[in-house]
Amino acid sequence: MQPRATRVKRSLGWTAAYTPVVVYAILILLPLYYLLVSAFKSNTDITLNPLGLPSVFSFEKFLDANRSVALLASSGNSLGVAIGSVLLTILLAAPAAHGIARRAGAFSTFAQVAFGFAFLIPQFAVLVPTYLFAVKTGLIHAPLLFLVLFYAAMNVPLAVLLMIPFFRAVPKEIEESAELDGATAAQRMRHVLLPIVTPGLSTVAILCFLSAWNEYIFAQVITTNTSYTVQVALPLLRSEGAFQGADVDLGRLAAGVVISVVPVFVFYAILRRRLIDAFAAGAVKG
Amino acid sequence: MASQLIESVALPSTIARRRHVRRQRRSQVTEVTPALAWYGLFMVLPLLAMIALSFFNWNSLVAQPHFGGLTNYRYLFQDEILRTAIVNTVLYVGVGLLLIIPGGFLLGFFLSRRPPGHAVLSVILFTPWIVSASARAMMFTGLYQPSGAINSILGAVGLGNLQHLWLSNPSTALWSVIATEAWAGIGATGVIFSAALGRISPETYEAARLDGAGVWREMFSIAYPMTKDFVGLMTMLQFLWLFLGSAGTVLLLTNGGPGSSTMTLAFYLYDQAFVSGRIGYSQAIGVVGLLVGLIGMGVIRFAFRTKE
Repeated sequence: MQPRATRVKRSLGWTAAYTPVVVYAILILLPLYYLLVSAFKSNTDITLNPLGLPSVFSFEKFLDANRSVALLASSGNSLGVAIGSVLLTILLAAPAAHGIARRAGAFSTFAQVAFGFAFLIPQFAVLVPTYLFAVKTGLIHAPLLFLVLFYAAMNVPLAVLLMIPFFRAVPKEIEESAELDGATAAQRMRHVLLPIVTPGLSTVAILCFLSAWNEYIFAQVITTNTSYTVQVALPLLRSEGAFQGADVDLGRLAAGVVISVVPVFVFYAILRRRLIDAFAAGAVKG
Repeated sequence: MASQLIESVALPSTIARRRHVRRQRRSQVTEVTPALAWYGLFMVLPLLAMIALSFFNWNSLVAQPHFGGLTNYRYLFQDEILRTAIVNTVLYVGVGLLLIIPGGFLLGFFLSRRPPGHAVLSVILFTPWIVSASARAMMFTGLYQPSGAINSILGAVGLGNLQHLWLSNPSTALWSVIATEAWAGIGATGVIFSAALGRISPETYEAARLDGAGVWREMFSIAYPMTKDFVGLMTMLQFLWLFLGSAGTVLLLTNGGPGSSTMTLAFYLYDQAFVSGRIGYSQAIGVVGLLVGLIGMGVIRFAFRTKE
């Protein structure tokens, strides 16, 4: 990508540097591959032929995994929560980022510092009060709705901080001419501003979607068996004695893991570059 | 052209202008307040509630909380498990950071020099970061189990004496859990570092090479000083992820056991509140966690301070 990028001289030292990097890459790929092929095998096939391709491709483990913990239904729950929280996050964060970007002043500074402070709030500190809040408001009976509301709150600070520079880059004149044409603030946001800040918006949407899809501990506390998200349902595939050192049904567990990561991997395959940039941007803002 | 139009409309009188400013300020408040309020309601208020609840004796959801003053805090000092949890948290976060940050920096430096294959390697190395904690833990549950892949491989290559019950042996459990964090963290940190290090111009390295600097010198005398702030920032973020993420990772992999050998502060809070039902006490543990977290962040800031 960089036109002036220089190729490293292939000295002995650089060749040596490949070794640990490639070993690490294998340590990442091998377990993922092992898991993928195991999901299609019978248990004897897993033991006798751990790394080969399945002798017979069987979807039995997927059906079994779905039968025991309703992984598809819980994936549906996760999808709904993730999409809902992304929309709510943007609904809250886009106007806020616009407001901060458009006018400097004490209020802007205060808001920015306040949102920045969010990164210092340890999430476990809010775990119990959040649960109690859900109980007191009765929202515990609508756990998925509660997760939408909560994940939005969790993601709003980063979303605002990431979007401010994008709104700042939009020339004021564009907005003002739309205002003269009689567009309301909401119309200007919807039809003029958001299309221009799409790159920033998609970064935010990607990060919020993944954080909502992958979140575990709050979902574990809030949801019950009819409303499990996929991350909460997945560990239930382990047998009861797992913590005492008992073996698990590896094929079934592998099938469950595959179901839970497929959406994210598809996402990654399509948006690879943008995803890494989004995480880097998120890290810098954090 | 549009701006000329605006001037001719907005500038005829100062009164109109002042009205315009006032309207803008009002619209800013309307735009920003919902987001601030939302975040305040779900993040700031609960934080204050945690501190308040830590002064209450509240041992079950159905019971009434009673103000107990410092009772919970007095109990903290006699709690053996809390001491274990603090030691484990320091090990968990400390060892995790020592593996992830230097490992990630070396990796990032390597990738940023664009060796052949760097693009493919970046894709692979970043992958674990998008796998959820839950899926990662289930994967490692399969690998670590008594007849799992790790023990099978050790047996197959004649290292059978290195086989362990990785997660159910008190002397290996914590390290096995930390290893899963490093597995996911080093690669992602490396790829993110490589993005930051890629901004250093090749000429800078060229000049150093003419002065006779080797690769290690380039790394320590150019790459690190030029990205020190960024490294500090990533250390801070990884610190928070490890510190807070340990609740989920431990819950998924070992449930704090065997015994309390993998108990960390974040997990202990969860355990006390949702398993033992000691809500008030769990919040006192939260306050301890908050303090430990602030101390940790202070240490990191100090370690990466730039000398004036």
